[in-house]
Amino acid sequence: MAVAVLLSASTASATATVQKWTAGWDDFSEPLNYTTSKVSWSVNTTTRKLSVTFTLRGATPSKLYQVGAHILLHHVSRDLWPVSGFHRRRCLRLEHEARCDQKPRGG
Amino acid sequence: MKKMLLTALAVVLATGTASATATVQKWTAGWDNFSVPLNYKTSHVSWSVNATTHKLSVTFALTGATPSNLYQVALNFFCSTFPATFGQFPNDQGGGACVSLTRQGVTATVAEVELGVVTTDIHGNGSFSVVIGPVASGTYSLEFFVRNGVGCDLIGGAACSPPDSSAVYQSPGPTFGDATTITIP
Repeated sequence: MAVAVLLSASTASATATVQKWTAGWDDFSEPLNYTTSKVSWSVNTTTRKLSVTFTLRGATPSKLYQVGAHILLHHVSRDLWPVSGFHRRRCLRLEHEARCDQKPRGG
Repeated sequence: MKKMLLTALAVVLATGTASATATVQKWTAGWDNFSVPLNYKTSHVSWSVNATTHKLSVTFALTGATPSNLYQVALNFFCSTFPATFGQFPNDQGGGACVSLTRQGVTATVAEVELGVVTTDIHGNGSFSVVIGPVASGTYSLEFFVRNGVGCDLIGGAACSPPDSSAVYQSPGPTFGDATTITIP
């Protein structure tokens, strides 16, 4: 029975995908250990929830780093993106990417 | 088979001994700003000590707070002197004599340690979990608290005085100086 539960859990929540960081597009002087830093994510198909862990090592001590995601809509209609609440805005084209909120480029 | 089951049971028991069950505490209002919303029934801070690794795990959970808001979470230690660090986090005062603070009519000497940030979702819910350590062995008298906004004693963010970074929730509370005792073996 325990084995069945474990198998069921592993089916619903896939193994996490681990990706390395590369430099961003505004400031190239911020330190980071690119070898050990990472972002990992997985999807639980039962709950339809996305889990994401941002891991930074060797960055500036005692500093706040805001994390976010750009939703790239290359392959789906912008109108299909399920935005809601006060985030309900038209996506905009920013160079080669479409974003669902309007903020200065650094954001 | 029986031997395997006994071995598995021993492993589970050993794990349970090393990492105690989490203590769950409710939030009470802070001392700077009383108008910030929170569902005090469902929000909480939980903590546990792993006696083997000498690590303190803490989860700050907020529900019914302001949507899409940043909340900085921290510890106030009630002390006369305090080291320069608590686990991997720095003492805001840099170590040595604790500083005198008066809040809610109570004066205490404290050392403060910033831990992280809760970002609330569109429903005003969010949490932040951290593992601190290894922590120097000892008995610590402290309170958990939450600021509305971020940047206090950290690089980046807002200023470190009200209305920015005002203390909005504390635990155990309800009064500054009410403390939780945590022992790190």
